Amino acid sequence: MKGLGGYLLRRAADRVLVLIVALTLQFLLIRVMPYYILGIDPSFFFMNPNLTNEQRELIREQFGLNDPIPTQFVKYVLSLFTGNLGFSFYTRRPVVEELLERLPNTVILLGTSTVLTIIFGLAVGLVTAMKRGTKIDTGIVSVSVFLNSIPLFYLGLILLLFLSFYFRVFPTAGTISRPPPKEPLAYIADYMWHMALPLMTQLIINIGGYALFIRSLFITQLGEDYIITARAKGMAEHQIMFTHVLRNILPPIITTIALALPGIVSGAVITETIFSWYGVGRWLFEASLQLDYPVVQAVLFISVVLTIVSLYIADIVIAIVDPRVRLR
Amino acid sequence: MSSWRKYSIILLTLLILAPVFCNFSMVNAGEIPDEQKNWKWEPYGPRVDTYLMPIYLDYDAQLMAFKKGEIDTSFIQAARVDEVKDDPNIYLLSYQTFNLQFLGINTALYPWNYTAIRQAVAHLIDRDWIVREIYHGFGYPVDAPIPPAFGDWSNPNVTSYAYSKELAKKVLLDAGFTYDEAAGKWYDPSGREIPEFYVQVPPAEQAPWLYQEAQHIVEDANDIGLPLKVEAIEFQALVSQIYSRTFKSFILYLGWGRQPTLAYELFRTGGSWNFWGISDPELDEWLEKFYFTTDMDEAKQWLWKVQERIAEILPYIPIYMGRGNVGFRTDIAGVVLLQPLGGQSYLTILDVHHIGLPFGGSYREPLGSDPRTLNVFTAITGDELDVIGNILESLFIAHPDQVSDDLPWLAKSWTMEEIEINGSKATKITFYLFDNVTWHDGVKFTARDVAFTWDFIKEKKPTQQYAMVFEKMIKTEVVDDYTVAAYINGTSWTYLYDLNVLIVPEHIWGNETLLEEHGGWEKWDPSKVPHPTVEGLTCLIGTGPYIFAERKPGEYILLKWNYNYWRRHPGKSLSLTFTSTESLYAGDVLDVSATVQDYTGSPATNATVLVEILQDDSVVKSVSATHTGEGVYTASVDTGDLSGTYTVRVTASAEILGYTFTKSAEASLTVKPAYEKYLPHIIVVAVIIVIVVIVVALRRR
Amino acid sequence: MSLLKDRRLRTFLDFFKLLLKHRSGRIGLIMLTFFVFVAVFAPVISPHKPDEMGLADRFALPIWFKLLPQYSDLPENLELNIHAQDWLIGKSSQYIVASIEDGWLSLSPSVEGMKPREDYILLEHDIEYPYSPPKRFEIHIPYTVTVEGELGSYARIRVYLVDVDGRSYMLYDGRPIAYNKTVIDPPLRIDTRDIGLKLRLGFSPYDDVGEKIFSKKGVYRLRLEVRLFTVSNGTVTVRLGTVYFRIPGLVFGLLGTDNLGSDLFANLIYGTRVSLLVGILASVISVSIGLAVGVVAGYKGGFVDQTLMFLTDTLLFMPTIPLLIAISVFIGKNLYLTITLIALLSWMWFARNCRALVMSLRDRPFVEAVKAIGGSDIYIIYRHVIPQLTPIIYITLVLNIPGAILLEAALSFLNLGDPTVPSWGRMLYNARYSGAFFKMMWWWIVPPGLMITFLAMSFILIGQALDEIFNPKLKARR
Repeated sequence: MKGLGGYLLRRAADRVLVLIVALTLQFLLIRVMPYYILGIDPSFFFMNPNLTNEQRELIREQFGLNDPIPTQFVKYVLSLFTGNLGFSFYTRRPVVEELLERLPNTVILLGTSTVLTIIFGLAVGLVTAMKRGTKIDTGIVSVSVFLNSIPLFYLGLILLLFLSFYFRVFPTAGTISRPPPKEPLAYIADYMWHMALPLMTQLIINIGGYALFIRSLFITQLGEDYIITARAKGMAEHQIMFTHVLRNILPPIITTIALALPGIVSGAVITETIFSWYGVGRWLFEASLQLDYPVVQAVLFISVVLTIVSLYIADIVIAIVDPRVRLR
Repeated sequence: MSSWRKYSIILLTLLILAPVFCNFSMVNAGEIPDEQKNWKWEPYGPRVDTYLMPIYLDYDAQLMAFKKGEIDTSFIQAARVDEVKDDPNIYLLSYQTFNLQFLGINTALYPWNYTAIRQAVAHLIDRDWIVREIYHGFGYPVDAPIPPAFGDWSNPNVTSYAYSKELAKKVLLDAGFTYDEAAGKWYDPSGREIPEFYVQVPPAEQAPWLYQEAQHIVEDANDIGLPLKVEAIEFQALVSQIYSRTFKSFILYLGWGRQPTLAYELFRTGGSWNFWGISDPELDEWLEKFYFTTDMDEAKQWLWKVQERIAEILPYIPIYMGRGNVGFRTDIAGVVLLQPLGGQSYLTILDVHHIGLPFGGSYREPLGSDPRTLNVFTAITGDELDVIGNILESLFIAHPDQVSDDLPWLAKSWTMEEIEINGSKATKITFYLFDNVTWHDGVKFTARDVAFTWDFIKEKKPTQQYAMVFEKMIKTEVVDDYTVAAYINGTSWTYLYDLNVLIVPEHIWGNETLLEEHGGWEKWDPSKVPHPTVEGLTCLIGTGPYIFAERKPGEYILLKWNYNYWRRHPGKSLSLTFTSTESLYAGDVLDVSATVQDYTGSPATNATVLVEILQDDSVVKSVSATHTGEGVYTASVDTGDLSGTYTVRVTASAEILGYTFTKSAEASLTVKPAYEKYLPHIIVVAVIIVIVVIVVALRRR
Repeated sequence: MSLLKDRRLRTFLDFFKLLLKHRSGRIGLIMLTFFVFVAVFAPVISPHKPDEMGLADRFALPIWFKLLPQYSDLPENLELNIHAQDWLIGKSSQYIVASIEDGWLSLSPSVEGMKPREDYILLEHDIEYPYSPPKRFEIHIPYTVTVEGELGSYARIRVYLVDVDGRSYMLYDGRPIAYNKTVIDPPLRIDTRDIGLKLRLGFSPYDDVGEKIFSKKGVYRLRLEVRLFTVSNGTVTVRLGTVYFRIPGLVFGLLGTDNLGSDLFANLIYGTRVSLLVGILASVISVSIGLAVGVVAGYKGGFVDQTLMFLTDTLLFMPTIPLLIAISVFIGKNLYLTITLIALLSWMWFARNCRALVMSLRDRPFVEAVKAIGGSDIYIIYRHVIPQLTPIIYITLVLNIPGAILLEAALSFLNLGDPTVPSWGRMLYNARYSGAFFKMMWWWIVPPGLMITFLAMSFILIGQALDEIFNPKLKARR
């Protein structure tokens, strides 16, 4: 187990270093560039021509913009890790509070879509890989290639137009009816009804690509020598698939899952925009447009930390599943 | 392969046939319903029970919801009028707004500092093209500093700047500029080549129309060799540059109020809206005279002079005055538009209702952005103020029939006197308030609330509602519970308008511990803080027709109607009719049958109905009626021990959406002594006896 | 050298043949050829440029709609230039003198007769209108007024349109002009979209005046009324230039027009160029960077490797969307900037794959052998490492393209793309924000969507075929 421990320790050191550099880059990009280079002053967000210069100074002080840059950086990192994500320039409300309003929606929508994508993608990929060369394979692959090529926003708009406007099956906007039903069960049903279209869009676009990816992983493995050996030994095809192949393609699958996790929090800009889904992705997009840096910085921070953590967890899992990686 | 071909042929056929299926012929547009056309505004209400404000962050989604009928009204962008006007379920109302689009210029910046350059650019703005192509005709080209929409405030005889490249050139040449035709370069009078200069607009993703407009102006300028360029700059960054006076020149909108008081701040040296940096002593003098007079005619006269000068020096170049379009579902009536311009009146929120449902129901008006705060002193966006405006009220409002006139609201009347304080001129403005107003939590609204609000604004200088008048205010005075006065240094007709702020409750906003607990007056959002004493209310209370009920961030805001509203519509109550006999004899049974309906016209089945017999205002007898179905209640009263004249009073009370309504009706009742019932018989018998006696007596004789 | 070229050419051709043998490769290539053809010959295929505005009325239908009976009458562009000699003089006072000089119609009062007096002249021109009602029309009238002599003379111009039934609509009522005036730059422009005109004619703000006035087929009459008031010692002259009359059509081009009256077909055709450019350029840049970093890191190993991989890892954490927004907001929107950014944010995975492959190659005997005989690093990389990487380079090159194309479309759709470039994403953005989706203008919505999809698909298909060519094992069937 020492090998594993050492490996994990090395990986941890790597990840932490990456985190620090990523935070520095973000700090430069989000805090230093707008204020010091482009001159975006948070006091102007107060839209009040009556403000005196002293009041302006006070606002800058509040946002900590009068300290030297290194001090600001230390404060910035410390406050991020203590969960103090600051106040939004635009709404002047605590970023955490605003984040918590939106987070559940995004996590539910993207969590569901990610999980379903992985499940269906794996299943479809496995089936096509096993039946490769047959008509089923060709059919599924062609459909997947087609779906993978449709722009997401296009599909979203078409679905919205047809299923919500022409055939009024689904609602046009929002995460719930306005106002929503009072009973919990009806509320959940209402929520699901609103989630149907965005979820459908996400799934249609993502499953095809993921299935193709899984299929190619499988097929690459199927050509390897050990499979040929196993076949020669007379093992059943499904046995080969599930014991040998799956084990070998697990690491890349785990990595893709790990990389998908942060997306569950940072959201999907286009889907959320088209379906007026009150989530983090859209918020990030709008905050970026409004130069609302505390918000941008908070969301980015969370997604970077999540990426690093989930990649590290992936490292651990992979190291357990496939001991060879520890030697690399 | 053959199947593929088959499918592709089907697909092609479908594509070709598609236009046959789509119907592009004209659909009958929605007509303005007669009830709306003939609507006479009433200062009572609100007629609807709930005011729902769903949030649509995306205009497209809002329009789709509007066309689907998920909302009752929507603002219609000029470019989207076409889509809506052919919808049979929607009608459109068009009005002139107070919004002026203009090109604002930093007059300190080379080469904008040359008046001739500004005048030349004014000649290069093709206002007709802009209004027609970009705003689809919904607007009026304007080149006068105070738009003609202001009636006699606007001076019609100022220098005008017609679109003409030749004139633009001429203006420059006349001012001593030279043009090198071959090189296509302009030189200023000192011989310096005019470098590239800029028009700043928000980028295309924030305001595509402004970008397009600037592009067009720039192209025209380039045609005559002026090196004007468009600079796309993020809106917030642009605002920050404007406030810090580091901008170049920009195209944005200016919302003039219903009185052009803004002129004072726009053009005065050091005025808070004087972004252009002009400073002209003569202009300042005229502006002072315009602002600090109580005589409107005199004010107008000085403003005319100001306009003449502004039209010459052009710190800002007006472009066009927008027209607004607002759509309603065809079952909506009671919308009140200000005349002759200005959009929807405050009275709309009281009068609006569904046709066929004079009272009750829900009115759904979308919000285009999620309100950041519902704190009246820090709210900025139109949507935030929209919500707050349904809850808080002001002292007077714009008169719907003539927008420049005032309609008394919380104040019955007011007086404005010129007085002298310590030897200098001052103004005393006294407001006489209505005495039947209460806050949503039941506390009486008094003069102290008004005085408190003024003092609060004077002290805190909030973003919203602050104006010159508070800077000059000497003191406020609560004369009695319903009379309040303000003493202000100097004299100006604008003081009255600036004092007309939304009034907040002293018992909430004056509660310093409460405010401190929730982040202070600037940071707190009263709608998120529960009311200290009354359960179910938040600290966002007012005197207005709606009570803040519920909010789900990013989704909707729900307002309930104010049952105790001081201008509650008299018709919004139970309807009660009953039948009973007018007179009867003691001992008979009095049958009373009452029909109770709620204000939407449907039978009230949960009412308690009491039938009382009164004599000289004291209850002699009371019986409660029982429900026999369909809102009909019956009772039987025994009249055995009564006699004389009585009043029958039927009182029905029923709960509608959590509020208890009571309505009573009366009728008179005469109860005659029981023997009177037999009087005819007795008389007949008596007469018979008399006759018999007489007959017998006669026979005897 | 020529031999080498020749050999390369041959392998290239062989390679194409191989590609054509695969079904997906064949389909992909055919589709791609189509797109390349469209892109190259865009100016030939499309008669208009995508940035020409006002070609017809906004939201004009495709011209082939006229083949269908219910649309056969839809108006096409109708333009008329009414020259000085084309006017019919209707009624006129006897004292007015009309003459034509250099194509200008000059109108002035004669010297005879009593003064002061008022003269008038009616100029008329017939317009044949053979279509169903249009939405709007416009008239441009250039004129000058010259006032001479004693002050007090003035001219006044009115413009009418008389419909088939003889109803006349006053389109313009000029104020008296008592001074020299030139209305040529710009001419008097009457446009029925003006709200003032609508209200003056008694229409609602939402009526289409063109539709109300040109409600029937037939002969309409444009009438100009010029009034001249002259005082005894003065005179006034009105000179009239070529009058331009236009009814913008409601059908235009193969795919109609957009909200600004631009040709949608031109947009679609020129959009091919943008998407191809974005896809290929971004992919080439990204693969080049990835290759350079991967090869150097993998071949050099040690500290260089560590540093480069660290850089790669860090860049993987760069937030794509906020970065793209920030840059487009601050630096501006430029197609090449977008391409560069897309490339800069997408080379990392390829660099990692390359590195892994190079590391495995580095230790192979043939590399050792070349090193032993003194081959330089550059030589080894160029002659021995890169050729081994060819398959993965080709495959990545092709498979990166759809991603770039879709990302560019998405950015344009969020309006973060270059506004001066007619891309398909932009076309769909315009469609959405001008309501084409509501109006079911499928001829506007469907083509760009399909074009993006098929272009992306063609590259994916070619990529798949390449994959199978380079990894023959993949083809092995059970």
